[in-house]
Amino acid sequence: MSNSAVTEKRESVPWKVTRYALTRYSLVILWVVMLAVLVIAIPDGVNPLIALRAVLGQISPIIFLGLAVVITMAVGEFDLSFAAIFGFTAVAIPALNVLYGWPIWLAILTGFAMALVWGLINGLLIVKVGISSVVVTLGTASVAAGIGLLVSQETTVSGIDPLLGAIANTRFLELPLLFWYGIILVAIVAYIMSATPLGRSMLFVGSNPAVAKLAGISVTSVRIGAYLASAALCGFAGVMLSLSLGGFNPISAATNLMPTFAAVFLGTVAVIPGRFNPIGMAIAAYFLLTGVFGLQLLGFTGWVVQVFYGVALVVAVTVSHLLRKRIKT
Amino acid sequence: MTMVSTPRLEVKNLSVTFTGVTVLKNAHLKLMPGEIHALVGQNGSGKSTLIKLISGVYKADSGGEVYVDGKRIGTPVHTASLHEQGLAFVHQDLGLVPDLTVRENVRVGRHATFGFTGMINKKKDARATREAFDFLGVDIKPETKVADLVPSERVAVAIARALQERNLGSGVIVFDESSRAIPPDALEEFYGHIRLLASQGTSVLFVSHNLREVLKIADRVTVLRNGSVVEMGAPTSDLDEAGITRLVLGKDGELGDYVRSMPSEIREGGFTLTNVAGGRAFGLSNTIRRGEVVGYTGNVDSGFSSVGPLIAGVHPGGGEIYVDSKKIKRPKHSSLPMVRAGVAFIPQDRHYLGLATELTVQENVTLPHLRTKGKPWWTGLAWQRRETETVLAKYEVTPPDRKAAVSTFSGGNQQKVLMGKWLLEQPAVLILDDPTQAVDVGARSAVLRAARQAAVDGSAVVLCSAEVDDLAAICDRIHIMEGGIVVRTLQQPMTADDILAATYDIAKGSIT
Ligand SMILES: Nc1ncnc2c1ncn2[C@@H]1O[C@H](COP(=O)(O)OP(=O)(O)OP(=O)(O)O)[C@@H](O)[C@H]1O
Ligand SMILES: [Mg+2]
Repeated sequence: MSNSAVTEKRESVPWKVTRYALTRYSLVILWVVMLAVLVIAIPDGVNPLIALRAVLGQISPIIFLGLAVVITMAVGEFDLSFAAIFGFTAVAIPALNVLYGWPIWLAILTGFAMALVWGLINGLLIVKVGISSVVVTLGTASVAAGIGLLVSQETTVSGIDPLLGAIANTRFLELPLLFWYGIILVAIVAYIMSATPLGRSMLFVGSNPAVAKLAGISVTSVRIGAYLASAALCGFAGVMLSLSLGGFNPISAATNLMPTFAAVFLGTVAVIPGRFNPIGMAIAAYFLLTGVFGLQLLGFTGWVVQVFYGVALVVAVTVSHLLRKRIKT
Repeated sequence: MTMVSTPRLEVKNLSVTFTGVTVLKNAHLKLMPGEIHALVGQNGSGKSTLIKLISGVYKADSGGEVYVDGKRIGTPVHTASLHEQGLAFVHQDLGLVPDLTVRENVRVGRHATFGFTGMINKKKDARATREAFDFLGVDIKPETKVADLVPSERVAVAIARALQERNLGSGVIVFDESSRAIPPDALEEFYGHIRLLASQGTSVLFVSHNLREVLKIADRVTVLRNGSVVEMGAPTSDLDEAGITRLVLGKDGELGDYVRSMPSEIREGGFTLTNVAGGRAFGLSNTIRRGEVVGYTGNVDSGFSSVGPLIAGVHPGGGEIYVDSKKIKRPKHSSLPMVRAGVAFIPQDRHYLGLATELTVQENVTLPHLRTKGKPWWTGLAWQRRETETVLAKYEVTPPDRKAAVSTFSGGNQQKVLMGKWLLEQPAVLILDDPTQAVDVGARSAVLRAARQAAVDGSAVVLCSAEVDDLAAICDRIHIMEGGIVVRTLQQPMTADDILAATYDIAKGSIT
């Protein structure tokens, strides 16, 4: 014991830093490598800065949905309805505004409130009644998507005042505000989860609810709260996307399911290995978006993107499983 | 003659390193046929690790050798070859599948071994399972799910599974802290079975922190300290309790009578029960004043084991509970009001109720105190570090690494972390359910002293335990239960033997 303990202590500082970086930020390194490969591989050559700006500047709900999923996963819940809740809000706002002539503020308010209602239904049925989360959220997903189609009369509704898009599209430091909203929310959720008693409660509810309960944590409120917070994030994404694009196609919401799960699980290998964490998720999300962007530039079509997300998801889960096993044994 | 001199099991030079730390170095062990051999040592000294190396659960560093009946089977040890050699294991962490039934858990290895064509004969399996339980003197229904069993019943299932692996007169059975789960009144019988197995020629290797038990049934003993064997196969006939304690600790142990050495003053307020009932206990009425330690004990069916979770509000029940004369609400699915009222509960089921084992020591220890010591918007780092380090030092947790996941600690060290978690802040009421399970002689006195200290500092303390030594060491008053109710009360001065006699007499009395 003493021998190896001594060798461990003698480990030099640079090596320690390297090892720390490798275990926590290998995904970032991988991301940089991927960007470099892209820059080299693309025939006409692209300016890496422009490529980076294109990736970060995409109008995509993934970061917000990823946060929503991180929150529910962290407390040990499983939510399949996040994409549908997002889609519902994004569709309801243009539909109410354009098709039914509601003032835009009322449409936004209604769309966002409905997201919270879906979250509350999830929370109450799963936590209070005790029904399996897979069943309930699959159900809410389908119902929300269906009602979304009904309100939108099964078409892509557009025609929201384009000026309103400024709230998401205005550029700050060359990137749209939507990107910065994402960064701010990631920072807030990351702070709450890692530095507040609430975050610690979430951690224990997710890891061992019986222990959490014995320590005086209200497990029920944490779980229902997670569904509500998750729905609020989906609602926020819905508001932003519909305003940014001026409308929304009800069918497109479901395409976010895979990328979001891939980002969330891939995020568990970064920053706090083995745990669902917002910053890891955000890094993973941009890692994946970069990959897809690159594939598109290289002229690959839809099927490759699906394969890419699928592989990323399975690889992420495998790696984090192995990480966890190393922690345990 | 040459046959007899071949050891049944011989281990040479076994070492293992986990993430850079050598946990076991050059361990040796030798078991003769028909021998009962004890493996002792402090928490974290490497006992379970050594056993898991022999059973192939962990992979040893290169260079080690394992022989059975003179035949080299490792390293590396292949699990399949253990079967053939008649080696059976009851690990400390049992290795049961909670979602399957008792029958399925007990018989699972069997199906694999015989591999007959055709379907599983459930009836035959159930009968074999019941026979194994009869042999142990426990009563568990084969079709119960393992998840629904209490911890001691789970151990019995693991023992039953191991016992049917044995081949008459050969092989080795290994028990890692199994006797702790045998009800005290069935212990003699369990020892009898072990002696019978040994007399038939099977060797037995067992790990125990109960040194009296070691002296009583083991022929020889091997002692581990800090991952090294410091005594290999010493005959127990040459040892007494103080001697073996010294071997384990490397220094003299203290024999605790904390009631006398730590006098406590009775204060205002306390913990009052009025007609509390639930589980197998009912009609509990009592007042445990602040500054007092009160014990509940009895034989297995007496219902005393229901008392801890019941009065801590973890299991639902009737009656009224007061803390400092304030009535505490007990909603059906929440022990929240009890926790908020200052009731700390150290549960028997460490893994299910006690600790979140994937999380770090610091996260676990500080959890109940975040509300009082942290701010809603900031947990605070300095106090977490300070308090966790205090706990690690006070209970001598090894290794003292606050950022390590609880699951990487030995069983006894996990128990110490659990104690520290609740005693970091002075609770109004401290309820302990068998708190010295799995802790070594040194830590046992640390745990008992801490419980007594809580009373001295002004908590009302309840100890539910079948360990008469623990009870005698710290309790001012002991309630003995039978058939779910308190039938007798003992006051200090009393000895462990008094408690044993009182419990036993009543058990005998109930027969007539
Ligand atoms: N998987 C693991 N990873 C890292 N360290 C481990 C692991 N398993 C055990 N250890 C360490 O190895 C040491 C020996 O543990 P072991 O479980 O063998 O102790 P033990 O003698 O059985 O103690 P106890 O009486 O408490 O059960 C401990 O310091 C423990 O922290
Ligand atoms: Mg052990």
